[in-house]
Amino acid sequence: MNRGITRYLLIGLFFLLIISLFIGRYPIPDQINQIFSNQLFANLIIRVRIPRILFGILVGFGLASSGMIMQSIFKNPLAEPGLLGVNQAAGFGAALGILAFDSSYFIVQSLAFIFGIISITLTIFLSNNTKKKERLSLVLAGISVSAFFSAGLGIIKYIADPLDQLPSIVFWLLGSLSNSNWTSLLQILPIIITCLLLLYFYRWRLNVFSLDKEVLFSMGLRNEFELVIILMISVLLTSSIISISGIIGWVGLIIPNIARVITGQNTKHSLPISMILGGIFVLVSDNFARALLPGEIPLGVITAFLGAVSFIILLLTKKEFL
Amino acid sequence: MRCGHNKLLLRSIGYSYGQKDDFEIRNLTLSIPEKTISAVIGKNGSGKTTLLLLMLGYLEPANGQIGFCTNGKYIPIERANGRIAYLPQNEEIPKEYSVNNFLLMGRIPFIGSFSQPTKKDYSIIEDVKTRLEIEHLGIKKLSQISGGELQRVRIGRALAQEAHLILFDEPITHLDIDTKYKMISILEELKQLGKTIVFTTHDPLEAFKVADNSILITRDQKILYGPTDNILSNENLSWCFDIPLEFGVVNGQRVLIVKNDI
Repeated sequence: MNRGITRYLLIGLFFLLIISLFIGRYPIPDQINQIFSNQLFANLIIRVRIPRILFGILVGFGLASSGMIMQSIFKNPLAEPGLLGVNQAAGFGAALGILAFDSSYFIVQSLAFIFGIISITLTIFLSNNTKKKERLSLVLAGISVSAFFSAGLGIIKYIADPLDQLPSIVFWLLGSLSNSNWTSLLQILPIIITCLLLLYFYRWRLNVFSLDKEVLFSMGLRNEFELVIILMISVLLTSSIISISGIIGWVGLIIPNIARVITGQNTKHSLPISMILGGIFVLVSDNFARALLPGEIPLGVITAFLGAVSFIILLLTKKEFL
Repeated sequence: MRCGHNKLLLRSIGYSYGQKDDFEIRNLTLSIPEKTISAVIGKNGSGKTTLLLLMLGYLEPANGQIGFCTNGKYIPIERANGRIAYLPQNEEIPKEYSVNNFLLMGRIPFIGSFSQPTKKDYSIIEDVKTRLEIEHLGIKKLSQISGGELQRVRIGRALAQEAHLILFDEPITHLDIDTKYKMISILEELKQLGKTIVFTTHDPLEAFKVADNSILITRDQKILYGPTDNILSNENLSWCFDIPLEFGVVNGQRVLIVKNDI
């Protein structure tokens, strides 16, 4: 059954990809043969739309699988990079890079990753040291760490040059794929593909975190080394994405939960389904962002809107949701 | 280290935690032969679970050694990766998983981190289900099965793990009366399969029914070990539980009663 669903979703994603090539404000040529002869249109497709669409799919794959990893590791269906403070922290790191180092890709990306790691470490540390129940304490710790880095972002916005840097920081914080081109895509492609492949092959093993730690110990997982490595991979994945796309919320929260409603708990199936659904979700959202209004709408706004709507629908109709 | 028969060996173990009034083990030496059932008996909070966790290697003793004697060779517990199954008393069960997927997790020691279960793993799961008569549960969720069935599924996971030693925290106490008896016969079956079993209980009668040997943790934190009939005497149990206890016989069955004169 699950194999069938995967196939249909992949076919769906493929057709969506083709359709997305022709969505946008530039008019599609009247005659089919002009699609290839119209130099401007061909350039637009190859130089702008293809990298943007590919990046959008990767963003969806990455954010949704990171969400699934964190929800499994923390045994908490609300866990995701945003809730654990990674989004805001990586955003802070990247904005710091834009402000202080003039947007060098490597530095922006490294800072995003470093602050992502700092935030998740802080969140876990805080959560382990509270006297509350574990699920709640993780959420509370994540919220406070997140708030801490939003404050930092506020300061950066205050310092930033209001004519030049500020608009780009603000727009970027709302999330957008408009920064994607072949150069930026190829720069982070190796990291993203490596992380995604590792997580994909880890899909069955991810189930183990649903067991007690003494039981895992008895099965030979004698320490938390593996857990930390997998968590690092998903933080690296998230922050690499954020360093280019800005903060795109809701994907990591809603998509893994939808995937679990479809396939059940077994991460062997729910992780791949989550990746594909994430790709579809981001691609659809970006099509709206590009084509709904004459000017571009920030992608984060669309994902938040669509995410919230589907969250409410699932909350009201599906017993097994969350 | 000298090694005779195959056994689990605890030598001069010392372990303590918490304040000075809490649980403490001093200079404990035990040798649990393979293919036997041992019951750990003691009051709540006497350290039964701690003893199991020491045998698992999860807790490290302050001094002494724990290990296996296998074919004349001594293997320290930390090198026995995955060969000991531990079934905690209040295990957090991932309720939305199917029985099949839960059983499959017993194969964790055999499946690489970045690999998937193979045909062999799935066929082992089928064998385990047949042996424990839980074939009909396969696709059910763990939230949909009864307490007794869940115990059998957890034992199935231990079998899938191919563990030699099964450490079982309170396997029987919380079950309904009918499933209690089933559980006792399952423990005996596991012994027939060649497994060594150590389980905890605070009901001496359970030990009498199924355990070859008993480990009694007394009030003054002494640990007595030996054949169940010798260890669970009226005097030892009365001293352990701090109440005068006496075995009697009703219809040929052993019962444990509190003496009338209190």
